[in-house]
Amino acid sequence: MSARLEQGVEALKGQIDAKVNSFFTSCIHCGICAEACLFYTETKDPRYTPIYKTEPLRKVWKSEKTLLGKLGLAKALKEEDLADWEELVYDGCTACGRCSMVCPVGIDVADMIYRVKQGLEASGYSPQDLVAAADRALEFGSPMGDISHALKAQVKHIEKDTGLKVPFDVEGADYMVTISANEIVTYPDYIASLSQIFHQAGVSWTISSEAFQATNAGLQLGDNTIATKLVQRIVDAAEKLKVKYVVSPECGHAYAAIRWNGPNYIGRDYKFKVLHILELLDELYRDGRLKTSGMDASKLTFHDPCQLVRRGGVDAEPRELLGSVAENVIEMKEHGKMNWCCGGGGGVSAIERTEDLRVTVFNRKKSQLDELDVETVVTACSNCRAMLEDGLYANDMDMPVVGLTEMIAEHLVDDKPIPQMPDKTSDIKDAPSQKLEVEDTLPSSKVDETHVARSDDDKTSAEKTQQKKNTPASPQSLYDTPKYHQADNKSVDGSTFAPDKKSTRIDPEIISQKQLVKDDNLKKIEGIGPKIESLLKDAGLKTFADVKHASRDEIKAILDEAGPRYRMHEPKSWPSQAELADKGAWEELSKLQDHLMGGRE
Amino acid sequence: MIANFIDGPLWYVSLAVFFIGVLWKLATIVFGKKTTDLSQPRASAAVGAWRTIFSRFLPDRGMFSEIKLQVIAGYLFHLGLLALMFFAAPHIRFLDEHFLGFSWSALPHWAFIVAAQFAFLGLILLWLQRLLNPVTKLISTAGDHISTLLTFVVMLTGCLALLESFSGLRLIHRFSVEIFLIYFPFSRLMHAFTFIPSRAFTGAWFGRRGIRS
Repeated sequence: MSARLEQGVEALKGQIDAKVNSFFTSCIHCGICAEACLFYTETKDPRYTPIYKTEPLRKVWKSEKTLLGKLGLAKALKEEDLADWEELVYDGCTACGRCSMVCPVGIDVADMIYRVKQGLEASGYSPQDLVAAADRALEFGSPMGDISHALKAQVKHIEKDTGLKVPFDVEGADYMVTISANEIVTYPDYIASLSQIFHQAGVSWTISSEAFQATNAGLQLGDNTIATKLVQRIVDAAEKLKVKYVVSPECGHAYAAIRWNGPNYIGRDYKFKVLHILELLDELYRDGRLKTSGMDASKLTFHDPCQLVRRGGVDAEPRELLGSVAENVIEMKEHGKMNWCCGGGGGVSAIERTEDLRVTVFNRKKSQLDELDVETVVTACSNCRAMLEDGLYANDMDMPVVGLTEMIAEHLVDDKPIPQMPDKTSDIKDAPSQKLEVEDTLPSSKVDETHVARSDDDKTSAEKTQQKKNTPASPQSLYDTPKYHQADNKSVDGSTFAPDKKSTRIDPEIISQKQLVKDDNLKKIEGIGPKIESLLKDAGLKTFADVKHASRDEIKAILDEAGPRYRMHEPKSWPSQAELADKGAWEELSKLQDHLMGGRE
Repeated sequence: MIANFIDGPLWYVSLAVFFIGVLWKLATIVFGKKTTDLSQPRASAAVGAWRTIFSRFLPDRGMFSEIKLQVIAGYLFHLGLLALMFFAAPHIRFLDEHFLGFSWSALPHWAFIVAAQFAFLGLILLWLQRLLNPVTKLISTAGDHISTLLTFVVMLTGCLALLESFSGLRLIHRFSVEIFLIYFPFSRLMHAFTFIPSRAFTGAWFGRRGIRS
């Protein structure tokens, strides 16, 4: 037996417990799990049958736990098996766990596949891309390398545009927010949205400069040692800052790593609680601290991130939040805990060689979206978001993908004055390694005063009056009861989630205007979300042609007038993007957008 | 002499192997290595376990059209087999005399025939699926085929014995049952018992996360 095989076998032996014993004893090889797996349904290759992916573990189990194995008559695991199964397990499984929901004897197949990954990783049969990502995460704090400079740049932009300080290393803050590398590099509006939402809701929060990045490449690789180290960083930072909660970002597996696996990795419970950002937003919404205005009228659907919903249990929260800002939400036929994966989770998106396979399996999502005929997809995982964008692009589907937190931020009520920024904002020094160093971090008392907005009750009547005056006429005034209540809107396949129509009062003039004018979908322009689109259209920029003829300053004026939340947006690239969209040059537009960051040049 | 051996020592040996084997196997699961989940639960693991033990008797509605053969054939086979095992007159008489000391009403002859047809139809359909479908063909092992074959033989000899086509059939049926009982604890036939802890493990995992599985 080679050393690699020995290491693999030993690691797999370590995975055999009562659960595995029960699962393999019960499996009747019915093949039902295949029909739940998008890698099988979209390729029809039987090798992608989920239970087949556990074959290396089954062989070791059979040798160890059955009579045939004890008599030496079971087929032993060979090194070729490990080599063969590497691609099958890492490329052909997103750990979405749909198979675990349908097994008639109750096998958690996804859990078993994760155990196989641990054997493969121990024997060195794991994809180089994932190994490199895990190494970078250990050395630099992120699978993308040292992104502290990117975060620094994003924070500067955000602070300048929103007038709100992004607090770093505030000891005693209630919430320590973590971010995914993808959000820092690709979707920075997420951080701005958090800043705005927390300001409005009066949330005491901070980001740790020592552990701001939450994704866990160790979990994707199946290396618990690395996974533990990455979780430990966050735990140490949170306990050092004495926060009450750690908030996981819009990233499914980051949530799984810190919320569910983390305590098991480090061998103890935390001194803080972990919430997904949507759990926190929903809590704020229910407490009346998160106030939204206006309803997005476009037809949209929610893509459930597997690790968040099916494997994480955060199912009702995104629906309640989405229902609070959108009136035309249509569920996919299979949604919630039975939704189909985007095709890139579990580390698959980090493996370059999977590109073609990902496009193939995206056909399942494409079919789901085709059935609905929606304009927008909303999700709550930056990896899902990127995969959806890739898949839609590969299929020439013209549909924006929006992050739910950003969508909520676009609908915030402007009822909190923006505090005077201190002369020096969060000035993050160049960091040689993963650690961000924050210069002039404000003392807690000052931070509390500056960044933790007071509740309505604490305000003087003069402030309240001023606040009322400052609140722009928002679409909320069109609705008597803009909030969506879960209990009133049962989830039915293909049904529309909408607020109680009886209790809504919509201005008929606006309806008729909307019906008469044939608008373009301005959300195609990177940087424009549903709320900004509505602002632009209200200001007369209804088509791509309108936007391309508008100057940067004209658009900026519209944003500035709409309130401080919109001042952060830089529309310089919008007219040129609109010009390409107007010509129908979608490929060129996409190339241009590849060079933009959240619509910025 | 062979008849005495089948009705005597082999019967007791097969029963001993069956009971000790099944109990041993269940003990390795119930008392086997387990890890305590240290994360804070969102909901009750126990409730999740109980829910999943029962919920998995029904297939996911959205997937039914893709798996209808396995579901329908599976139910035909299992219900038919249970009816034959516990409601055939000779089995009730046998259990009353040798184990329980009480009896219950047997199926009428026509119902027995219907149950047998269900069981055979289900088993044959599942076997054909195992042999012909690319997925089940790939994942099936020799053990799966042996289990199916043994079950088929037990059912066939049982039906023939009941119909009393010739006297030796009762002996053949009993012999096939003994082989079946000896094979049972070492095979996937154990799923008849272990489906309960399997569903419970998974249900508990999902349950503590607040997910109905």
